[in-house]
Parts: sequence; C-alpha cells; structure tokens
Amino acid sequence: MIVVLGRMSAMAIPSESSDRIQLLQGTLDMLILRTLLFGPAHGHQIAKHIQRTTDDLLQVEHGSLYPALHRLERKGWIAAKWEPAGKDLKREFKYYRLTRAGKKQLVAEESKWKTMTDVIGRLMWPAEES
Amino acid sequence: MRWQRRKQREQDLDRELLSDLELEAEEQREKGLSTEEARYAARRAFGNATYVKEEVREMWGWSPLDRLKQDLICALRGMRRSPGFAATAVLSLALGIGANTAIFSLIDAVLLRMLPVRDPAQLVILDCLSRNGTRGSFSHADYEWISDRASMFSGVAASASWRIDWKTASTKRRLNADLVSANFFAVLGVPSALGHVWEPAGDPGAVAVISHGLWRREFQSSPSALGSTMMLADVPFEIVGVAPPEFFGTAVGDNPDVYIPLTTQPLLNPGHSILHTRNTGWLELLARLRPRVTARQAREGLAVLYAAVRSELHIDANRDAVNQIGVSPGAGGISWLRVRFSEPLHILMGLVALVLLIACANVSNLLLARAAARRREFAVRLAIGASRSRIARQLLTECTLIAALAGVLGLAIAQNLSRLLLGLADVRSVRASLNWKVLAFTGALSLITSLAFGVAPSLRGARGDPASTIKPGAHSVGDRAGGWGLSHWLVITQVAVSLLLLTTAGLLIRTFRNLEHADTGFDRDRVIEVQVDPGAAGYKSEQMPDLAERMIERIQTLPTVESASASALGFGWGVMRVCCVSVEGRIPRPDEEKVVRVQTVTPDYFRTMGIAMLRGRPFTLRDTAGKPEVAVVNESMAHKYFDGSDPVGAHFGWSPQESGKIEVVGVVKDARYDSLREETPPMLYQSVWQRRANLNFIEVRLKRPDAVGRAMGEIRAAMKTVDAGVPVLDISAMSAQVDRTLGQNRLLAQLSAAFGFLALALASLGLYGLLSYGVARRTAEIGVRMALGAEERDVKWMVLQETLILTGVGLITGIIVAIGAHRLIAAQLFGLSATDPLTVGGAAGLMIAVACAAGYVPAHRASRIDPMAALRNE
Repeated sequence: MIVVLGRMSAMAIPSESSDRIQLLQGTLDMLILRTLLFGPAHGHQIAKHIQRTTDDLLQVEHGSLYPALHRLERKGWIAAKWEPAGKDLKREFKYYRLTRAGKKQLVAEESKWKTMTDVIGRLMWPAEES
Repeated sequence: MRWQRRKQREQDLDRELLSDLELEAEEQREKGLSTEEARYAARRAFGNATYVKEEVREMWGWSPLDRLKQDLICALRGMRRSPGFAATAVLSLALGIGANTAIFSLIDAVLLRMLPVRDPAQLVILDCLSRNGTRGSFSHADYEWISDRASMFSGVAASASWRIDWKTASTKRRLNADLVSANFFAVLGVPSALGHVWEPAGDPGAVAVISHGLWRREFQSSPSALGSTMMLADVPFEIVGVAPPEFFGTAVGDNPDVYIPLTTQPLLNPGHSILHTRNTGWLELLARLRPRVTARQAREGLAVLYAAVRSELHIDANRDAVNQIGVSPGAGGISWLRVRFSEPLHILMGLVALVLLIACANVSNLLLARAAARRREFAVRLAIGASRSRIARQLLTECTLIAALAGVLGLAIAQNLSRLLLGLADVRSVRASLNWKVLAFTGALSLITSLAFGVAPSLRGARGDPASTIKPGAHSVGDRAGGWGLSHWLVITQVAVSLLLLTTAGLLIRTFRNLEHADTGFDRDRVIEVQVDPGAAGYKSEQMPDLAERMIERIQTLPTVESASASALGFGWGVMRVCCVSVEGRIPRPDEEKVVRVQTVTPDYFRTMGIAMLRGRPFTLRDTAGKPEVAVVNESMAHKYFDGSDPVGAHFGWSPQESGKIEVVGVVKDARYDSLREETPPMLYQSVWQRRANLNFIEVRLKRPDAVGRAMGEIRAAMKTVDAGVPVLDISAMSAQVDRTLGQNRLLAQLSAAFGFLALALASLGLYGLLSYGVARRTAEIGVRMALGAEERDVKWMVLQETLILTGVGLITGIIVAIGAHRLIAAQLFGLSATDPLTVGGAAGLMIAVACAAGYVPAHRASRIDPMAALRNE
C-alpha cells in the first residue's frame, strides 16, 4: 500500500488504484512543519525526507507540496529564502525555515493529531483498549 | 505595481520548480541512467509541471482584476475568431439599445427636464379649471387676487407667451415674447447674465430682458446691447438685461426671445387693455410654495380664497368660468409640448423596449448555438481542471463585452436618431443632448441586456459532461433535442413580441388613414385658407368687414376662383368660447355647461368651405348691423340646446333676460376646427356685420382642385393690390392644414411601422438561425430517413412543419398579449377598436408569410442532403 499525499487529480492518479489513501487535509502541513524542525530545507529535500523516513510509503506529490509550502509561508509559519547549497555556491535553492509561529502551530497540530488518533483508536479497537 | 509583484512571484516559482526538477534528474543519474533518460524520469516523477503551477497560483489567489483581464483577453480572442457572430450580435443589440437611448433622450428632454431655476421642487403650476375640467388660462384680475391673498405661496408669477413683431431698421420679424409679471424673475430665482432683471416692486416701464440666444445671434454678444432700444409692435422697449444661457422660459420648447413686463400689454394693443379685468384669460401662473406647505394644502387654501372672493364680488359660483384651481408640481415648468408628446413618447418607449427584447432573444439564441458548437472546447477545459463557475464567468464576460460594444455603438446611433426624430416631428425648440442621465440609462440598459441574453447560454455552456462530449462521434444519429429547448421558446417569444409590434404598427397606421379620410365637415381639396393679420396693418376690428369685402371681391375676379369668404377663425387655430347660451322658452339642466364656440363669417362662408346647409338659410347681405341679429348653428348645437326640434326660427341670447335677442335662421353640418379626434362642440356662426371680430382668415374655393398651386400665387398677388400692407402669414390648401395637424399621428404610425419591421426582420433571422442549426445538427438523421425512402418533399415538409408550429404558438401567444396590451394605446386610436380583427389578421398573415420564407431556406437545404455523404460522416 502506498499513501499519496495530495488531492485527487485527474492527471496524477489513475482512478482505479484503490490501494492509495487520501490523507486528511492539514496532515501534509503538519508533516512539512515537522520536517523543518530539523533545520531549513528546500522543496525537494522535504519531499524526499518524508518519503525516506516512511520507507517510501508516503509519497508527496509536487502538485500538493508546493501549494502547501506557499500556503504555510503566507500564514507565516515558515519563511523562505534563496540560499546557495552548501558545496556549490553558484547554485541557489529556495530554503524554507520554521518560524516561531510555525513551531507553535506544530505543537498545536501534534496534540490535535494525537487526540484524534486516540479517539479513533478507541472506536476501532475497543477490546485492545480495555 | 501589483502586476510587477505577480510577475516576480511567477519567476520565483519557475526557478523553484526547475531546481527541484534538476535535483530529481541528478538523483536519477546517480542511479546510473543516461542524461537524457534521467531527464525524462525526473519529469515523470515530477508530474505535470503546469498543473503544479496552476495549483500554486490558485493558492495565491487571483485578484478580481487579474481574472477580469484574463476573461476579457479570452473574450476578445473569441470574438476575433468568429467575427460574423460578433458583428451580428453587436449590431442587432446596438440597434435595440440605440433606439431605446434615442427615445429616452427625447423623454428626458421633453418630460423630465427641470427648470433651471433655484429650488425647482418648490414650484407649482396653478391650473385654471372649468366646470367640466378643461384647462384654461387665468385673467389678470384672477392673478391679482391669488398673488395678493394666497399666503401659502412665497410668490406667484404670471406669464403669457405671445408672438410680437420686432422691427429693426432693415427687417421685421416675429419674436417669441413672454409677457411676465414684475416678480417673475424674483419668484423663479433667475439672475441676469448681464445687466439686471427687474425688481418685484413697482412698475418697470417699457423695458425688456432678452434671451441669451437672441443676444448672441442678433447682438453678437456685445455688452452695448444693454441700454439700446427694440421696437416691439411699434413700441420702444429699452433692453436692460440678458437672461442666463440655460434659462429656457417656463415651458420646455417655448424658448422665448424676449421677456417684457405684463404691464406693457396696453401699449402693445392700444385701446384694448386686458389688465385688471376678468374678461380675458391669458395668463399661466407659477407659484413658489412656502416651506412646509404641501400642494394639497395650497389647493385647499385656494378654494377657500376663491369662495371668499366670489361672495365679496357677488359672483355666482355656478356661472364662474374659474370653477376650481388645480395645483400640480411645477419643477419641470409648464409645457404644452409635454402634454402633446407625453403619450406618444411613452408608446414609442414601449415599442423600442420590445424591439430590444427581440434583439436580446436573437443574441441569446446565437450564443446558445455557439455554446453548443463550443461544447467540445468547454469539455476539454473542464477536463483539464477549469471549474464550471470559471467557464460560466468567462462566458458572461463575453456577453458583457458584446453588450458594452453594443452600448457604445448604440449611443452613436441614438445621437443621430434623436436628432432625426426631432426633425421629423418638426420640433426645433428642443435639444436632446447627451447628459449623465442618458449615459446612465444606456449603461444600465447594456448591463441588463447582457444579463438578459447571457445568463442562460453561460449556464448551458458550463454544464455538460466532459467525458461523453469529447468522445468522437458523439451526438449524431438520434440526437434529437427531445422536445423544445430554450431556443425554441426564445423564438416563440420573438414571434409573439413581433406580432405585438406589428399589430401596434397596424393599428396606428390605420388610425392615421382613418384620420386622413375623416369627415371634417368641409371640403378640403379645393379650398385654400389664407391667414392674414390686418391688425398689424392698423385696421381696427370695425374696419375689417369692409376690408374683407374688398379682398373677396378682388379674389373672386380670378379665373380659377369659384367663391371666397372671410372668417375670424381657421382650422386648427382654436375657437372662441362664449358663455352663456340661454334659449328662449327652455329651462336649462342644472349641470349644463352653457359655453358655445362662436365663429364670425361673411355670407359666402358655408358655400366656400363646402359646409352643408341642412335647414334654413345662410347669411345674406341683408343681415347687417341694425337688422335683427341672426345666427346659424351647427348640428351639435341644434341637438344640445334645441332638444332635437327644428331650431330654425327659435331665439336665444347670452343671458336669461335677453333670450329672445338672436334668431336662428339655419342649421349646418358639423365642421371640425380643433382636432379630428374630438367630437365637434356646439357652435354657432354669426355675420361679420352683427358680431365684431378680427377677420384673420380668408377662404377661397377653386373651380378645380388641381389649380391649388397656381391659385396660391394669384391670390397673394390679388390681395397685394387691395392693400400691400396687410401681412399674409400663411397660405395653404385646407388639405395641407389638416395634414399638418396629423403630423404627430403620421410620425407615430411611421415609427411604429419601422420598429415593427425591424422586429419582424430580427424574429425571422432568429427563426432562420434556429432552423438552420437544427437541420445542420440533424444532417445524419435526415440522411438516414432519406436512405430509408423519405422523399425530398417529406423532408421539406418536416422542416416547414416545425416552422409553422413555432410560428403558430408564437402567434397565439402574441394575439392574447396584444389584445390585453392594446388597451394601453386606445387613446391614440381613431375609427377602429384596439382589437381590430383586420389589423390582427393582417399582422398574423404577414408573420406567417415571413416565417415560411425564413423556414424555406433551411427546409430546402435539408431536402438536398445527400444520404450517402451524410452517413459517411458518421
């Protein structure tokens, strides 16, 4: 099973693939914020990071990633800056970095997420709980 | 600024995505792929870059202005792609909008314009109403009472519009002169542009304020005009001021050239003062209400005031010429033009609104057909991610653009049309100009029309399922639109509205014909009427019978002339009313109006005019001063005052005390003097020697009707030999005189016919379009039918049948609506009912004929379809 982060779109996803899961809106935002907690990163790095840390189970579509980045930037949770990549000074990447407000938001999202999984867990597997 | 930022953001995004793509490609290369392969793999992994950009842009959000710009560019591109469609749509709408704007600008100029005075809303018009509600003018004594006593007004101004001769060293011409009360300018709050207007207190003397127009035309706007002298009716007037340029007097269309004080009236008519008496009604009154006084309070106050005046002066309220004083809003001033043109203008406004409705339906149908043709385009757009609302919005933008272009073109059409209409109506005193009201009207109209014709096609365009539309070969055989769609109903509406317009035009044209052939009671083809002004040459009214006698004698020597006569009144010049008839031995009904109209004539008048003598005798040379007074009455008078018995030999007088004074010697057929529409009022004729009057008209009967042109010159010359000093104001055949009073009816008939045909053309275009489109869409179906054995005739009939059904439904709807709507124009009709079957039938027949013609072309085309070719297209 592969989880694709992104909205259904006519071009990207063949409609017959039933083993792909749509994540709740807002989840991607949380994952991006969480990724940036390790330090500034550009779009490609963020996508790769999410993919790698989930052993390729979570795939981030560009069509979702970039709008999300721009949305978060507009909300003031992350800030962007063009900077050269470490080794090669001639190549610049757009690095995103977590802001103070972004950190707060991440904490809030995390606790919300925890509550939700908790609640859903209780509903789905009541026996295991007791 | 905004755009700049947007551009930079776009570049930024491009760069960001490109760097991502490069990194992806690098990674793929590291996995061992070639450069080329790596790039493709990166692209595959990246997905649709345009889609990503779109998504990000959507996230940024577009400002409404950006979207509008995009939509406009798109709309313009669309119009350039199909110029035929764009031209048809814009042109038909422009005609509709132009006609509406033109009529509105006339309504604005004639009906809505406010007097250019201080606080016009405070002004009221006082109406002098007689017992039966007809409107008259106030006498000077009435004016004095009202202005002295009416406390609810802060001021009452009087004015009378006269035409007065102005003599300069070289020329003599007639001016429009307003005789106005001393407080006229003060009450209206009109300052002078130059010099001064007179002050309310005291008698200003023989002074004049000239209009700005006259000052510019005749005095070259020179300040030295002030203080100079104008000879008006041989009286020297000193020019003391110039009125402001925007002031057009108190009546729209009057445009007086000069204002002189009321008190100079006795100077203008020496020996005949109408000041301070109640004998003559000649003044129009405008009053300014005191603050917080309503028109209703003013009316009640005036009724109380008049009751007091009557009891003081012992006037019998039942016999008083002034029965009631009406108070109506005066912000627009007094206007006969308004009274005359109000209803015709409203009818025209209704007609052009209907024309616009038809034009809208046409454009709507065009758009529907276009939307159907563009289905694939919309489907592709929907498929690649455009939202339905976005497509609908873009289509609406296209509609608005069409309407805006049509509005601009319509304004240009309106400018010329309103000028043309004013010329045709022979109204030169009114200028229909562009102002914010007209512009706002056109703007609102364009917007409303764009919504009216645009909404349905836009929604239709945004609907539809992309998947099934894009599939090749969609809708061919069997794709009948299953029943009637919106387009069919639009065409039915067009047919119905066209029928309404055609019947209206038919009714108005037939009214005009009826009026033209209406029985005037006199002979109009071989009688010439000459209007003279012996008063201007110094003749007193007692000298006029003698002058007339000499003129008649001289004219009768002409070979073309059969007889000639003179009279006080001519056709279309109104008549003198005299009160109060009292018939010997007859008790009047209590509510009876005792006013009759009196005409003074020479003995040969009836023979010359061709007015039939029904009983008794005409006047003879023996009916002179000193002999017993005699009169000839018309049928209406005989009927009203003599209750059907033979009036010849009966006596009447002007008061119960002298009811035996005048003997009726004859009865003549009713002849019309005012208008062809009204019933002829009771009227009596008296001889020139027994009732003194200004003889301002000479009638000449010719031996042959075709001699009119030649005779006019001869008559003019003959009159000159009698007294060259008597001005001849007008000389024309009676038929021309009657025609002149019909000008408005003719114009209304012509315009409604023009609009009716425009509607017919637009509706048949709509019908043709719908049917052609239907045939084009059903090509395959028709091909199958023909392959299966249908003959050309059958196919033709199939299309014509649809035409006839559509037209039939439209006609039935139209007739039902027309029967209801024509009551609105009943007042304009003459000699036929508003539901005249001949007119309705004729209009319906014309509609069917044109519809068949419009349907025949597509029907013929359908019958020519080659089954093989049609089916091969599948």
